[in-house]
Amino acid sequence: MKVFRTIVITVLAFILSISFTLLTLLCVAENTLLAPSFALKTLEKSNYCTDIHDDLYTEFVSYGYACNIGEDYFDDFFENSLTEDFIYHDVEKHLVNLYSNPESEINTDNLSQAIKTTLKQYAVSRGYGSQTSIDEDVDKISEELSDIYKGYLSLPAASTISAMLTRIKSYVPYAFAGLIALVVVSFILILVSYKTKKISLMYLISSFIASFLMILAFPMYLRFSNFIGKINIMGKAVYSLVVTYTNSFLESVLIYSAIPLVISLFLLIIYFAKAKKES
Amino acid sequence: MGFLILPLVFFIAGYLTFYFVLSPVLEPVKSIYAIAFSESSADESAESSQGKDLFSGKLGVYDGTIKASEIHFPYVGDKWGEITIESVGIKDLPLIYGDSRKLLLKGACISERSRLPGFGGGTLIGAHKYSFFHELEYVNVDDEVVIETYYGTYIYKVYKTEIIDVDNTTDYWDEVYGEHETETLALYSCYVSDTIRTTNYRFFAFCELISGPQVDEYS
Repeated sequence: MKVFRTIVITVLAFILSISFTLLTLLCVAENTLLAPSFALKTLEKSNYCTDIHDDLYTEFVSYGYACNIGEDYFDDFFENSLTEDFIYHDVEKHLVNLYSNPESEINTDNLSQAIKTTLKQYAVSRGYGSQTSIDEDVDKISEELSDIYKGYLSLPAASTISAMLTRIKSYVPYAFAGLIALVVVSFILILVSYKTKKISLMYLISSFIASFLMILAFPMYLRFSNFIGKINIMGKAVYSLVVTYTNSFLESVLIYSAIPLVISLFLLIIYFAKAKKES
Repeated sequence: MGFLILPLVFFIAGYLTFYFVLSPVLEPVKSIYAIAFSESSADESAESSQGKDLFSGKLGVYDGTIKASEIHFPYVGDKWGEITIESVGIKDLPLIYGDSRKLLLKGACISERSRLPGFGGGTLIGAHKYSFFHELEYVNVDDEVVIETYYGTYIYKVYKTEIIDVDNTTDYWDEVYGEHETETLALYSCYVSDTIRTTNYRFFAFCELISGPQVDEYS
């Protein structure tokens, strides 16, 4: 009977450690992967907008060479119109929309208008402005440059990620309810199983220490071995964003691992206080 | 000791549980691991991803046979040679492998779908008219084109020039990829008149090989 109880309580303690680990990870996910604010903070931390700005400059200049547009036009355009702030605002909107509107696209109306205005001025300065077809040509160039811009700013697999995030968010409340119930039930069952509360406390402390180790170990290895830095992503900008985002997520996990550690320390204090009282 | 052994047992059992539960998801991830991750971080390999300079000057190899196994095949972004068309003042223009918009800013670019000189077949090289191939449209039939590569020197002669709408691929496909007695070279740039516009038209200069070492791909 005692052996049976020991086995059952050990299994319950293991279930408690697993479910508390999952509950903590769900809290991390709720505040990071599923939160637009986390994505925006990562955007500010990374060099994404600067790298996109540089990449777009190179692409636009090369495109322009094929249309008789010199680099001087784009030097001016990127300094005064298509600035890093301009890019940041569009990326910000795109990221926020990932979480709420999978069907949304990047709006390039402002960019398109800016290109048309400045390009016509450039054409006039070069002596092409009086040509009858110039409006049509500028419209076409503006449309193609806007498409290049949209292509660069759209995150890879954005619509897939967006649909996934929306689906996961709908399941989160049920996952929270289930895990909280599992944690509370197993905690109470372990607590009431023994008359000697020191034994119950020992199982509870072991569960929370195990939970702390489970949350800490693998993310710590990934974070400090720079494992994510070895990911093969062609674009410098997207690489910078993915690495910064993942490392920030791993750092959040490491911070949240303190929760089971604090609980186990608190229970340890109670345990040693009881032990002192009994002695 | 109880506070050490039991937590460690739970920790190991916990990771084993996660592994077995997640293994249907992990198996496909493991199979693409080698593609998804490299040996070094991107920061360490950033310099190598900029493109190597394979060309270290004229080799003076004008004929003969070279074994393909003795040539390091270029990667996208690598400089593999220089092109000179004396008649129109194009001199020692860098030749880059690949033809993305970014690479077109570095020099004349070879399409990855075409063949390098010496490998048999057609070679397709393009550059922006605005920058590197501004004088290309002034080239004439019988003008000489010299391509210095990192493995030999190739001399071509222009036999035809033409302005082609690139949407009509048959107009130049056969010249580049069709069967010919000798290797061919097609040089092209945008054909834009003095205005700002996108254009489908390209100026092509088709050339035939006069001399250069042949690469034996089968040894």
